[in-house]
Amino acid sequence: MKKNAPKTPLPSQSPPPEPIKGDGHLTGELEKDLTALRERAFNTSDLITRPITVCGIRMNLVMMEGMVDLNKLDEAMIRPLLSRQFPDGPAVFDWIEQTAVVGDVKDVYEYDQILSLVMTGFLAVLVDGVAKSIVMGVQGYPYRSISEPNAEVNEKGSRESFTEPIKLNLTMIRRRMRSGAVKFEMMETGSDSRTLLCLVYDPRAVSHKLLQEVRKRLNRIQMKTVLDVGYLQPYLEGKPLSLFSEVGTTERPDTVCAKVQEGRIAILMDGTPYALIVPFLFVENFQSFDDYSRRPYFAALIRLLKYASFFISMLLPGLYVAVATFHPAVLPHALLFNIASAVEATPFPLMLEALIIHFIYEIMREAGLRLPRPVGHAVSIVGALVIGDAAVTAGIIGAPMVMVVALTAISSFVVPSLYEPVAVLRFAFILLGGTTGLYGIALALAALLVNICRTNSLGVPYTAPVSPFTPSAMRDVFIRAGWKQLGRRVMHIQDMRGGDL
Amino acid sequence: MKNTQISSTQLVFLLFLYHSFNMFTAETHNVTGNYGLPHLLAIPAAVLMQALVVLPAWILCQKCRRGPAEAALWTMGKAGVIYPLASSLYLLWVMAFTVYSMSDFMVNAIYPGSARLFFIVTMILGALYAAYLGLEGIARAAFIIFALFLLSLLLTFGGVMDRAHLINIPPMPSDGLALVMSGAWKIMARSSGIVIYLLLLPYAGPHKKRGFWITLVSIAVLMELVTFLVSAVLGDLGRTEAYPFFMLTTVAEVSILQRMDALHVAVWVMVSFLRITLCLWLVRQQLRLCLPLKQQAAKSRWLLPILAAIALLLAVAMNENRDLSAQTLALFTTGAPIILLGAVLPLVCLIAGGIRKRLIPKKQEGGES
Repeated sequence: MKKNAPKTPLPSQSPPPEPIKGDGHLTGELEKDLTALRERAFNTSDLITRPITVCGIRMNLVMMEGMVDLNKLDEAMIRPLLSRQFPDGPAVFDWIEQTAVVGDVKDVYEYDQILSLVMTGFLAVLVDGVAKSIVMGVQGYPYRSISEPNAEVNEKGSRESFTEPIKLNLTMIRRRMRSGAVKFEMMETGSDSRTLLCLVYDPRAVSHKLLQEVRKRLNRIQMKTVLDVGYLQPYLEGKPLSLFSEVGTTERPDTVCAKVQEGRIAILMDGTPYALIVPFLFVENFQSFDDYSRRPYFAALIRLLKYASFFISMLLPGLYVAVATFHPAVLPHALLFNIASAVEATPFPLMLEALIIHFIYEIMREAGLRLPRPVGHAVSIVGALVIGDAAVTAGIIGAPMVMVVALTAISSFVVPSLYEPVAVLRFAFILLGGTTGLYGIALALAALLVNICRTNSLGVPYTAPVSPFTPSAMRDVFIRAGWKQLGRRVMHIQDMRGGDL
Repeated sequence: MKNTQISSTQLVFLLFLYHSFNMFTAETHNVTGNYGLPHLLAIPAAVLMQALVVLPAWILCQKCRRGPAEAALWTMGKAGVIYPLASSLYLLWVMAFTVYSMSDFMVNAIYPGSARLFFIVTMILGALYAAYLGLEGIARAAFIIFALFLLSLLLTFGGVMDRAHLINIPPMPSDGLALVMSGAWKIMARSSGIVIYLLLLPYAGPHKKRGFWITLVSIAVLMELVTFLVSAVLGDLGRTEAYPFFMLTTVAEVSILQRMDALHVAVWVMVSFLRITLCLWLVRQQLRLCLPLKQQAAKSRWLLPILAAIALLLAVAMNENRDLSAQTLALFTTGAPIILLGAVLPLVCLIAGGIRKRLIPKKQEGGES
């Protein structure tokens, strides 16, 4: 854990030109202002008000316990302050405002605004006789340091992933885009949590219609507490009944930079090591950052493997059950005999067998995921032994089914972002394949296809650029063209056919 | 952010798949009475006939700059409601017949002994859901289904090509020309896709005419290929088989896949699903036009389930009473519905529109004097 916290940026709110005295505004009477602040914070025990006196002028430092870097405060303000002479309160105030060596310094006039900033780690200085306060960014709370990405591991390229403080995440983006092509727009959400959000976009590339729509949808959030970007996702998605998400997530700052360049908007939230990306297309589930650092022919091969894995993980068990149960004539005779002998030796129908084994597999996966890593590995080993060996030996499950499950399980990890819909659909297709054969699978697949095709991610068809077909965008869909071709022109999201941006 | 417009490319894919359902059932011999060379020659003639039949409706749409149903209402006032009503009735019947044909195929060829009702109900429920999602999703899905369709065709063609023998194709009989013309008429008469084309005009983007020709020519090429392979591979067997194209897929063998019929069935289900969905959606849109403008949004909400229920009842009736399905097929084969919707009613509208044009200036002149 690091101790020097990054500074949370000040929300872009311009102060009123003249202080307005009355309810909610500082009065300039120190005791009265402090009492009002404490009352508004419900006398919370971690609100610290530290009185100091400089040249007979009474001041007060207001901060939250454990959120301010006291050493930094001492160096930047306290020591220089105590070594000087001041005639009155406004002189002290002006000196601090002009000479304090910290990043963010701002005049604040309202109690609520002071509390809001103090609770994000700012220090507020109240001077007796001055009806305003200075807030300064001297945050010093503990946070997790920058680490390697967990879900988007890559072979080459950067090993940095987002962490919890938003300022650090923004710094990681800014370091990669130094031309000013990326704009950060701060917002607040959650009436109680007042969580900081940041829209990251390229003002030259983004569609203004898209920007307005995202702002509108985020402003529609009426929740009291927002703790994770997942809370925002439903507000950004258009159709709640769709199985596939129209909002992308990434933990990589380089991915955010690349997406923003294409006219997309990334949404970062303080306290969440993920960024949301909108609009998000179905084909983006099959793209990874490594694709762009590999040679194009290999990247294309991997891309095709990912598509194949997606279909295998979703359809293979269902197809196996359907073909073996209803359409065995399709299979080569040798394979058919093997399957038939395996089915004969087991007590359950093929569909039930598939459902049981997938159910067990999902239980084990979930258990392995939540348990501490060493125990998780043990669960995997036990699972592999139980399913792979004992169940076959005991004659509960046929050997071909174990192969099908193993291939399905491995394939499902190739495209991790689609795991959730694929897991649900796999069960559905097993049921359909076992009860209605290929007819049911084909019908459900067609209905699913219309469902996916109907989805629009903030005005862009979710299935673009495949359908509606955009030939110029196909250079980065099933194959990945070389950088000489990709770098010639950036394909913006609003250039997709069928879009409404 | 809703978009109900489709591009002309999407229109082509939709129409192509819609038409290709007829090819899948491929009752080449028992519908046209032809087999072999006469049928091969009848296909291009049918393309020309389709274009001729649709000409009055096309002129009407161009003159009025709207779809045929909207143009009928515009030119004939309240009496113009006959066009959306007639087209709805026809498409509803086509839809029910498609569902019936599909269930018939499933029970006879794929799942012998199973209940037809199951296929009828599930297919209509699926179509109801997809129609509820709208044209946008249907048109986009058509492109992907087309890709699957093409793949299955290529595999099937590749799997049977080596078995094709020209000697199997029956030659032209002595009364060949008459057979060609009657065959072309029958193919045209069963091409409900041209009505679909007309009804989709208001929702399609530019280059609709080009889209129409591309569809007609490509479907003709496909039909030629299928007919050629059925005749050349199956020989006389193709004349007696109920589903000759399906028969073709069962003999196709590509690598480890011993038969292509499973893939063909999956694609066939998707194509018929798309066809039924498109019909259902279009019927709803047509009937919406008959409602007063203010009530369109509120009342049309229930139209889809009601129409699906009617189609279900019709399909079940066809299933229970084979005479009804035979009569339906006979009616479709006369070409009366296509002629009515493609030529007769549009011509009436054009005449009514001309009269109206003449009357309105007279009235205006009278009013001014």
